[in-house]
Amino acid sequence: MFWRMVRHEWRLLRADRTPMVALAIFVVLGGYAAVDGVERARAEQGLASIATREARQSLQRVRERIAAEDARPSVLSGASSRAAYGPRDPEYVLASTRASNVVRPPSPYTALSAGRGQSIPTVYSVMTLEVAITPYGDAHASPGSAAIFGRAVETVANPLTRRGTALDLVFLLVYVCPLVIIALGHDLVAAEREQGTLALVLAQPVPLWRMLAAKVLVRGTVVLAPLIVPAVGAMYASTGLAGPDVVQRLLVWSALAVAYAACWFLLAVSVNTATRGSSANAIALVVAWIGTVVVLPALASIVADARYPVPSGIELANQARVVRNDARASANEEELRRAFLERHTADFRDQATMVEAMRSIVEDAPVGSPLLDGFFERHPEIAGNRRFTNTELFYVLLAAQEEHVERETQALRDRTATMSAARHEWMDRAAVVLPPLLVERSLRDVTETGYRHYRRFFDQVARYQTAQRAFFWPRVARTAPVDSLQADSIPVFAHEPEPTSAVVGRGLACLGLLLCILAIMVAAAAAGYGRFRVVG
Amino acid sequence: MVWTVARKETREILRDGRFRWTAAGLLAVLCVAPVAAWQQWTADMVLRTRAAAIQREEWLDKGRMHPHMAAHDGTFVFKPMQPLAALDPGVDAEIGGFVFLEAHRQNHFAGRAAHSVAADSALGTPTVARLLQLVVPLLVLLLVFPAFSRERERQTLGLTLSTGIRAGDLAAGKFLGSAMPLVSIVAVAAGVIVAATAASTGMQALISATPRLAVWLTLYLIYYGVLMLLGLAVSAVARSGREALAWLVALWFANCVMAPTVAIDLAARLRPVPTVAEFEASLEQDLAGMLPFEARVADATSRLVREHGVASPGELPVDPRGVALAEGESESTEIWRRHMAALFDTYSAQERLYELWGAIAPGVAVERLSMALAGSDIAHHRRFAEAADAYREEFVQRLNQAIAVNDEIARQPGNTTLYSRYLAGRELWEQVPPFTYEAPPLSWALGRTFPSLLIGILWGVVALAGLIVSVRRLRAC
Repeated sequence: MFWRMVRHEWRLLRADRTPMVALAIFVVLGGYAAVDGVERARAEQGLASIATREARQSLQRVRERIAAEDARPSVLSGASSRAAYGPRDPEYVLASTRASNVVRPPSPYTALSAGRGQSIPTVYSVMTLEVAITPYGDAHASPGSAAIFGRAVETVANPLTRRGTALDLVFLLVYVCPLVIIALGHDLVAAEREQGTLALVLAQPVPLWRMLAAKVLVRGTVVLAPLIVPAVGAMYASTGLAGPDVVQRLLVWSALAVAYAACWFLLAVSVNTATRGSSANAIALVVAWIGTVVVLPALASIVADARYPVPSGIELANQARVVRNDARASANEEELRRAFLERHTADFRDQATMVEAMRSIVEDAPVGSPLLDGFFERHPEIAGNRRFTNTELFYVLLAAQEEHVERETQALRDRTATMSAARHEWMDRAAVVLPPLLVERSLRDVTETGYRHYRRFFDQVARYQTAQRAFFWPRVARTAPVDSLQADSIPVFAHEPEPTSAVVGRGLACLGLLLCILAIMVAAAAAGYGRFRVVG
Repeated sequence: MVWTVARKETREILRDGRFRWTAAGLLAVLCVAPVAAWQQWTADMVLRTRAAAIQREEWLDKGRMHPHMAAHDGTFVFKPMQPLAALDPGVDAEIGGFVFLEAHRQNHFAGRAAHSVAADSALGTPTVARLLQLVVPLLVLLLVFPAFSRERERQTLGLTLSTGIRAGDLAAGKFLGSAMPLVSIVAVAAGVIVAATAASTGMQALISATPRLAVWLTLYLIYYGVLMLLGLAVSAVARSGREALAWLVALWFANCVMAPTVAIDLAARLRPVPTVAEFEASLEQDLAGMLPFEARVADATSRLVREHGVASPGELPVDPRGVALAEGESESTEIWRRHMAALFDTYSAQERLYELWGAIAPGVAVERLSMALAGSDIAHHRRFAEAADAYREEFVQRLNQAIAVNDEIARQPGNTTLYSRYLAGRELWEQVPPFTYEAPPLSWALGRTFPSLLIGILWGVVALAGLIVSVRRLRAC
């Protein structure tokens, strides 16, 4: 009997022109989102793989040159304490390699969710020796991270396109799918009641719940198929569905989609218990949509901004500029003259000649100034006997200046990180009572296009920067030659993705929460139908 | 008779509990959002003003250094915030609010809000404009969908027409009756917006922002009027309230949610912007074609010696290196400007394609006009970026000129260094005036959005014609 009802419902649905038009549009949108997602995933992967390959190849070339230099007997026999300008010079190594270019790994699940991929740059140049924050000001280009590590290689895409909503499958599920459900579900029972057929149907040995189940099953299938089929197709096209990780995430993604759609169907079922007619039901559901999908999340966001204001980038750039100048003021004037001015009075015919000219200036008296004294206390491995060539002093001063800027701006950067994290947590709490927000955040999380993913990446970059400095600072300060063995230990950024189990665990927790909401809604719907009048 | 119908229509709407709840919720959001937006705007404005003052002080207090080092030490300029950008931030969050100016290059703008805060939802930041473009239109359509269709369902439409009332009067009454509750909501929201603007910017700024604010608010009122006409037309032809509602919700979704997204997406596909790698490669190629600095110095030296009729470079009254720096700066500036102009032209081409979508979806035209009136669209940004670059060139060239005139040590025979020991101080830094920028007038903004204005007017005509045609088809039985 149940399946006969299902077939009957399907025939009725096909005969109704308005929902079929809505469904057809939804199917087209689902296909478009999937194709667009696959193209986006390929473009991001392509860009990232080119940048990663360039970084690796440049490091490989540097290692090969160092190895070739090591093999030359003249160099080995005539070893000096300072490297000559060339492959073994740490300054040369830094200048020749793009190893400090960090590539933000695109999410393998971009086909399902665009996230902020269009807005957040893909390649970052991690500053090892130069002042990180100034002069470019956007050095903290990380969502809420306290890290300052350099300059983003900016996108030149039209800001209008970056501002717009990406038409991805998450957008379709969270925003469009409920509207299709409303179109299909606002008259689940009301239409039968208005036409007077409800009493006839229920005069048969068919309980009301079974009739509703048949209606929801048919509508649920036709609503979810245009989302889940393209999702599977897009993931197959972009990843080949290779590996258990992809399958696990896709399953969680699909389960969340089903649970979310079920929430809207249950709401439609509940609203149908009111006996005010299908138009009134539709209005109530549309108002519920705009309330839970647009207005309440907007209010939550406004409250979050008011409670946890994230400091502006202007504040950081400005503060960095001031403390940078302070640092310069606290350096010894003669040191600055030696390091900066003398560097630029060297012959400028080419880089090598200039560097050699600088190298020819022998180390002077021990350096010391408020800026350097503090720096040397923290870095005794760099201080040594405090005698440096002008080139070395140039880099020591830069490092000291950079560290000074970082220390002085630490409080502001910590506040940025704290506020951003607090803001995120507040939105997480708000999402508990707002299923659309909850599902969107969870879907972005499962597909590695959400806040946590970006934050994790920037934290890793900050750690990489520390390792990079630990390797290069002492070497550049002493022009210590880099041999083959050391070249192999030049830090290389390797992104560590979050274990799938952790991500899936969070997705399942969200699913559990949705199921609780569903249980409450089932109880409310059951109570509503307990009082439901079939006629009159 | 028109007013009688209007009163009856208004009364019915006000008696509807769903309307009261929805209106209350919407009003709450429309009152909270401008206040929050203005608070943020005020904080940002204070920050930018203070930052600009500090940067100026830092520029003047940089101590003694070679002018070319000062040109690389550079300075920041901050984009002044337009008052209406608080209500419609447009592309500001994606572009950034300040830029570092230095010799030889145009830097990208920094401080993009979109970088530092992860978006909460795909619908973007809940700005006042976003609410006016997304939420209020839905309320408008929900208000008007039952105007004729419900009467037809209740079979009271025939009765009403049989009283002898003209269909046009009935439609006008229903339009006015539906408009009154909406106008009340928008009037309260507009009052909050004006009060918040006055409280945040002060009366003086409010007065200067009044023309843009007045046109901006009028734009939205006209837009809602057009939607109301369209809604009434659909209601007049729909066979039932359900059908009218389905069509109008679909219209709202297509117009307000899908069209802006699809329009810009297709525009980007039809007129693609180069990738960052392509852009930089092309730029680098042109910059690499410039004369090397030493060759430029040699050229300038021989030319100057010839022009001044002196025997040797040492007798020149100017330093060829300063002249070469100035010439190189002019050339690199021209290259940078050409590439940036091409990039902005591509943005404009995309924008024009995007704008055409307004002919299909009026929401696109409104979004475009709203940003332009708020001074937060790409055209306004381009104007500021060009002003900032003009200032950059001016201050760098002033420093180059100082090198040319004062760098006597560099002019000594045999000196081949780029930087000499010429150190300038505050007296030179003060010769560089502070950066000032004046926002363009309203007419400038409107002139650049003429197609959208035209499209908006056409939509008004089409909606009115549609209502007239559909109402003429109304019959008493």
